[in-house]
Amino acid sequence: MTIDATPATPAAPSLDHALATGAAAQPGARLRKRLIRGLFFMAMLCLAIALLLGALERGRFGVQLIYSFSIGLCCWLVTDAARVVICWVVDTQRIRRGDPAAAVGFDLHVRGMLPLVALGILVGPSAGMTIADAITGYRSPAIWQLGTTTARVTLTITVIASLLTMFVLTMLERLSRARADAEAAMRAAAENQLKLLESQLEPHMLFNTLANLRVLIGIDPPRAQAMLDQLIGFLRATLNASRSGAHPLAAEFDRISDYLSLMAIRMGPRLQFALDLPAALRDQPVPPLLLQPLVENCIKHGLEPQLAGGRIDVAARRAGLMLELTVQDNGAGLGRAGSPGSTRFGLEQVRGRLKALFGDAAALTLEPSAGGGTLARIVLPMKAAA
Amino acid sequence: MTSPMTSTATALIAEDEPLLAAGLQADLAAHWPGLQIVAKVGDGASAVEHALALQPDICFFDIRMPGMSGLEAAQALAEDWPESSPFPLIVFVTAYEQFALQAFEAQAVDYIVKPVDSARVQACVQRLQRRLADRAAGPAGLQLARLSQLGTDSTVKLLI
Repeated sequence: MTIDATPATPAAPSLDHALATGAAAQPGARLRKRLIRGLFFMAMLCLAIALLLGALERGRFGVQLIYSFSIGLCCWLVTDAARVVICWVVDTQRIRRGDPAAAVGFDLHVRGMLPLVALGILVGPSAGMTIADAITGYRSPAIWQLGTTTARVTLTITVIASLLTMFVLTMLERLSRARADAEAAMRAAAENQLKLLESQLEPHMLFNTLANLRVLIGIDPPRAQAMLDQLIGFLRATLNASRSGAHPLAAEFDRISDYLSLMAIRMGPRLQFALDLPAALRDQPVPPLLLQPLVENCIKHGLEPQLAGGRIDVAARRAGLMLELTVQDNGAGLGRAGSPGSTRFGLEQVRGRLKALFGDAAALTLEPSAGGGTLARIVLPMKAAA
Repeated sequence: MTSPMTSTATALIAEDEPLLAAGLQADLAAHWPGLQIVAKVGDGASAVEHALALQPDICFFDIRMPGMSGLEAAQALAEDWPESSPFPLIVFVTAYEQFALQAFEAQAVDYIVKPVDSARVQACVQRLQRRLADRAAGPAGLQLARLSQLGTDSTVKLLI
């Protein structure tokens, strides 16, 4: 039985996750916000219409206001309020079922809206005028007979106002949705950064290293100081690297050198290593923290299982237009049916990052090495030095 | 009756990182001068081999070692141990906390988490010494010791 630290499972997109990260529609709050926004816009529009009509008819502003608001309210209830309530019902049902689609709030598209708008235009003016009549005591002519100018004007205004409202509110919501998406993307990016840092700074590695340092302080203080310097260098490089998008190849090699030095103190004669970085390639910008998973794999699967340990060689060279990074060991080799799970996880992470950054232009391959053992090779496009 | 500090015993250390093995030996020597380290090995298979050959009173096992792990070694040792002599007291020393339950099932006497600090080693040493003393006293002596311990146990007093 080989004992490996359990790799963290990548979070499956789930409703709980979405709710926890705030990306889910909280239906109640969303409903309230949209109702208030719709009501406010309707009120402003109705006020404007009333003012306009009042100015045109030179008076009776109060009456215009009553009619305007009544019609507006009825239209709004049938179109926008209905839409918003439908969305709320769908969201609530989805959350109750545990449907992950509830993470994104449900919305009616234009095609779904048109029937509601049509209904609003049909129902709103008549209902509104009935209500306004009841309040003012007037008797308005039947609107659908379109006999009077008033009826025609009212209908025209209603149609224009409804379409305008639908348009504006849709635009506003699209804007706030886009803003929410941007925030979610930023949050996801921050989370990924944290996960990258976690995967590179494994607690057991730290504790084992500190345990060795503790012993060394007692028996060989100068060597302990050197070891502590290497640990500091490694930690600093890890923190910096996890925050940046790229760093020079020399920085990556320095960090790996510190890491291997720390591991060599722990493993004693069981780990030998060498690094080869040509001077011309020192300034090449590379994504940070690419090499560590490869080196870790070599140690974990190539060297540690062998009693005698072995040797790791890390090298960089130019291959045409590409930069080639190799990590090679003379250890147990690929043939072992040992814990493929954690090997694959570390390598998949590197592959994923390479693909996200370079598409098909970069690759990570694993092959048996000439002297027994394994050779891991990363190929990526050379960049002009930053 | 020998006092704790002067009691003697033998122990085997199985630890693949040489500095940590040396460190553990030094810590043990500081708290238990009478403890004699009969072997230091770097892997599970050697641990089983040497333990069967040398029959130490105590075994200190790292868990993560090349080839056979410390837990596997303890298991193999239990299977192959001759009936005639008492099974060594097993202490696991490891950076990983998640094996505590398995260690308990393997009837370990203690489970020390790395980095090991001095006070923890001292506590472990006292526990080991008590166990060895109990064993030396024999079954009857053990019953007497347990009964006298019960008498002073305030929790038990509440129940009786």
